[in-house]
Amino acid sequence: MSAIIILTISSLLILFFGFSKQRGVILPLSFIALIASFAMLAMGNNFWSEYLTNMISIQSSSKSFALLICAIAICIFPFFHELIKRGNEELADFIGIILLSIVGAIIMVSYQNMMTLFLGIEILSIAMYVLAGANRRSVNSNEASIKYFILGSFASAILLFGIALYYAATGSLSVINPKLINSELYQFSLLIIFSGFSFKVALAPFHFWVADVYQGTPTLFVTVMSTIVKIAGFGAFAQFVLSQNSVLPSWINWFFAFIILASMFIGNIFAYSQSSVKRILAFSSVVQSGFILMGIINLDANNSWSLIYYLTAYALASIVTFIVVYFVEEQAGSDHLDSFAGLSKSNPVLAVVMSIALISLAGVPLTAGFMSKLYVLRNINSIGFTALMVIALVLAAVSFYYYFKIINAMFSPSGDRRWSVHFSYSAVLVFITIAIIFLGVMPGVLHGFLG
Amino acid sequence: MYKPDIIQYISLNHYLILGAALFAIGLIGVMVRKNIIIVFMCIELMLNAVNLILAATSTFYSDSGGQVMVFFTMAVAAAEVSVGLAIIVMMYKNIHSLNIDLFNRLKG
Repeated sequence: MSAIIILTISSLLILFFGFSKQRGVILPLSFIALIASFAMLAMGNNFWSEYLTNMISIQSSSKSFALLICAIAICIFPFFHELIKRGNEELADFIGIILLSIVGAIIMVSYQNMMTLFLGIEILSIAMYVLAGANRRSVNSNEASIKYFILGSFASAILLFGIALYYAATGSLSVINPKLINSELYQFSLLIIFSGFSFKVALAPFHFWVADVYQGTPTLFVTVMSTIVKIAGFGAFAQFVLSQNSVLPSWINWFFAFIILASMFIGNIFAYSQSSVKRILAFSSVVQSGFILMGIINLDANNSWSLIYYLTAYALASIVTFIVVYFVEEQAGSDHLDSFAGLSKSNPVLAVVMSIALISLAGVPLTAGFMSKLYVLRNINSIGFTALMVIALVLAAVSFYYYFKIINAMFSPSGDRRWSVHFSYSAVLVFITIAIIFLGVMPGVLHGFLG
Repeated sequence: MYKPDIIQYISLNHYLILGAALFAIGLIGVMVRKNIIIVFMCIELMLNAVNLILAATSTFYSDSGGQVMVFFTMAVAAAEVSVGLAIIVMMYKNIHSLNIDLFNRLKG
């Protein structure tokens, strides 16, 4: 809760500094606010563990998700220094909006009541609609913003309908210890609520917005979308499954298995033929969401570890890939595969970190991506979905094709552009890449830290 | 909490069916209409259908949570409208039309 208060106050202060002339303090203040909220969450010396008449509770698993969100935000924030190029007014607006969206994300992962869930989702989503349209004069950015806005509020309405049916079926908006008054209605509401969640995290039958939105949105904000929004979405998903565990019907595992299979097939098939790197990564994120959902099947308070580890690995690799795409797009003017040609010669650091992030997404051993896939596959094998595990392994191998297509383009000899990236940005990217390898070699460190 | 008589005569299912019907009208509207303002109104219709269910359920169970949620939904819908209309104005300045079918530039 103290993290939420710190972030809200600092984002309001930043919007205020945008009006006044003290624009130099915006980035340092936001960075300090993030580190302070991370520290408050990590220390956990809250006066109470529950707030607002039990509507928010930051405890074991929601605390891990909230810590992860803050840590990922700290990793992304150095790159927002690039926004200074766009003028000081926009800097204050964007940083303020992003801090508010992190508040929404933390509320989303720590809710105990449908009201706070809905508020958290809306705080996060409305901020993202604005960021998607950040390039006001570019028609592509407009298109992304309109599509995200219409489909996102459509999904919120569906989720809200599910919440209303859940309320009618259980007689209470609280998600803790639901009493089933009407069992059929409850099962129907679960179907609708899970569809709404799937929409927010781009799982397969509900993924159609993701490629257009990622392609049109300014790339720096795609980094936020593909990491913080996804962690928050899956965090909310996991909290809901955890709280309903005792009354979930048995068919729900088959419903999840269907969504996983659909995500993997559709993501792989569509990623195959794309030539825009942002679109390839968008469809690869659909496949990755399928893998993350494997961590949610059969979730209980003791085995949420595979889910959190997968989200960490995915978010770190995702930051590196999208930031490298940002730098390439900035200097080549497009995110087409051809713009990546010769990157290994002109800027070997970018090419190497991008390659390591991509092979981590693909799941090559010695990276975090491999260990995370191992954990989630072990999780679904333990409940007897062996066929699903085998299909997932085959599809993971298929996905190597498009990841290596990007690596191949980067290491092709053609192209004589000279790309320069400031030393500090390269240093942060290298640091994140080392974290990817380190987590892949010693996953126990993260486990120990999150308890 | 005060429980009016009407909720005894008309059962909760009727309210649920009415809400679901309104919700379905809004849902179909979002899918088939081309004018962005109409699409926007259909989303509002979906939210208000949910408000109807929440208010009826809240009265039926004598639980005030649903009615508080209705206020939250209205406030959030207003926030969404303010951002949404800003996005629509931005769109109109760039393409001088409100037809969403003109947005087909992003494709693979």
